Amino acid sequence: MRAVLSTRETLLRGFLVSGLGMVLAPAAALAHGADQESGGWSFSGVILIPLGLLLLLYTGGVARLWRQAGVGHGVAWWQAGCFAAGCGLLVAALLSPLHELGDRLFTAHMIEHEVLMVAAAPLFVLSRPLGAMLWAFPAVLRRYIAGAVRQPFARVAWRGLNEPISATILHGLAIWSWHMPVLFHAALACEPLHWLQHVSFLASALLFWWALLNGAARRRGYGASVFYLFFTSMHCALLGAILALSKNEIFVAANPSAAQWNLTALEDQQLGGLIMWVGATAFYLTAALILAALWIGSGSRAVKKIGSGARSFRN
Amino acid sequence: MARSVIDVSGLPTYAFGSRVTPWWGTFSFCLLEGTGFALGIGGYLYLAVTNSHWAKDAVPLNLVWSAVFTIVLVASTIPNFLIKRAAMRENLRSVRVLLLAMSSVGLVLVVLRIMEFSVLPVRWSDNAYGSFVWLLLGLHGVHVLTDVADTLVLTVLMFTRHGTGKRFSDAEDNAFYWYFVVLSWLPLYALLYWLPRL
Repeated sequence: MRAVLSTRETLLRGFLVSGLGMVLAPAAALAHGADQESGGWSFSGVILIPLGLLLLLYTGGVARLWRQAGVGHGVAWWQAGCFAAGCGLLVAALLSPLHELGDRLFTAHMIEHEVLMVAAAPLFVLSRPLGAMLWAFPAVLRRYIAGAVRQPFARVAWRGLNEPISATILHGLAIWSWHMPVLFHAALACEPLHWLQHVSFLASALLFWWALLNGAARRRGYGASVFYLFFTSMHCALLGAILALSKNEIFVAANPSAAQWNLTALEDQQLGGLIMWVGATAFYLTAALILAALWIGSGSRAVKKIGSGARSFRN
Repeated sequence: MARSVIDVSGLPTYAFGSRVTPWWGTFSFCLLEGTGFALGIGGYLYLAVTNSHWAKDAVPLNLVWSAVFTIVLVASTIPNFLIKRAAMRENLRSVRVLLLAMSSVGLVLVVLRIMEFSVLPVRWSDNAYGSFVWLLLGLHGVHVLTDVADTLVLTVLMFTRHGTGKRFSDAEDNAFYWYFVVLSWLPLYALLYWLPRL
């Protein structure tokens, strides 16, 4: 029974991963187009160094863990795969020509943000990153780090941030405040602010997906996660719809190369809004459906357990 | 066939939080009203990006009364938290004192909202912007008023012989609703007072 359920869970996770392909496909197509136009890969140390460090810690940790516990134990193959896919998406969003195009085309910039927030972030969360990276350190250091994390202050802060409601609000604030025209244009004009924008999107998205997939919500059975995903999809849809239906050019300065793509500045803004409205919302709703299925599944598993318990009691 | 009989007289007649029906009523109410606020915000933003007169009509609102209102409202979450805790511990003395405090805070907020309406630079009938400012401020004002009325009734009840048992659960429910009034104000405040200034 348990084996059947766990395969179903794996299957559903498989759907989640394959769903990412839908988000990635247009990104890859646009990146390809940009390559022909002008841009190339932007190898910035600000991205490469943290990404390389992340990769080193994770692979080192998983290698040590698998040497001790056996291959596929502690961190499953599909989890390592999620991490690899997440890194691939970060490269696609931040290093590939898509990033450079994002400075000149609003639609490309929106795709970049969506890849970070709805595709890369949940993959990293599913890949069990913290436990794996902890294993990269020697045993003594590992114990020291674990002790530091267990400090009362760190625990309270982490628990507070990891509540689904606070993570949802923080993520929503990050999305809405960076789409204020003032901040959006400031980010495009100033490279450090642009990195800050992407870091706050990715960090708040990681927190959001962590709280919904891994935190207390998982123990409580994903019901709250379904609600918060629905809520997030609604406010993202509102923001996207406002941009898609707008008749004023709010982000006109963000798309000097729209004409190269046979778009007017306003059309580019509307297309970007549409990607946020339909693309992001579709992904949030897919994730909500998968979690609802897991939630219902866990409920019927509990009922069956009670049922079998009652039978054994009668005998 | 055996009949199962169980004596439930020992079970409590009331509880706190999601274990009682009124909590679900309040929760559904928050969802409904939250949707109302979201639709109002959506309508405001939709007109802001499609109405060609909006930029001219959107006169920034006075910041004084709304700032005082926001500070008092956010600060009121502290007595609100304490009242919730005292109610769940069924501490009648604390609940009475805190309900008196919350009632006066509520009345102050109602006065502040009235002052706000008196200094608005637009009338509700001037233009689409004016209509939305009045709609959103009024909608939230009605929620403040609802909870203040509820708090006043509860305060009176707590000083009579009814101040026992289930009324503590009502006080906790009232505190839960107040959190919604506070939380729903924050996006409205940002939208109405700061967005036109950006």
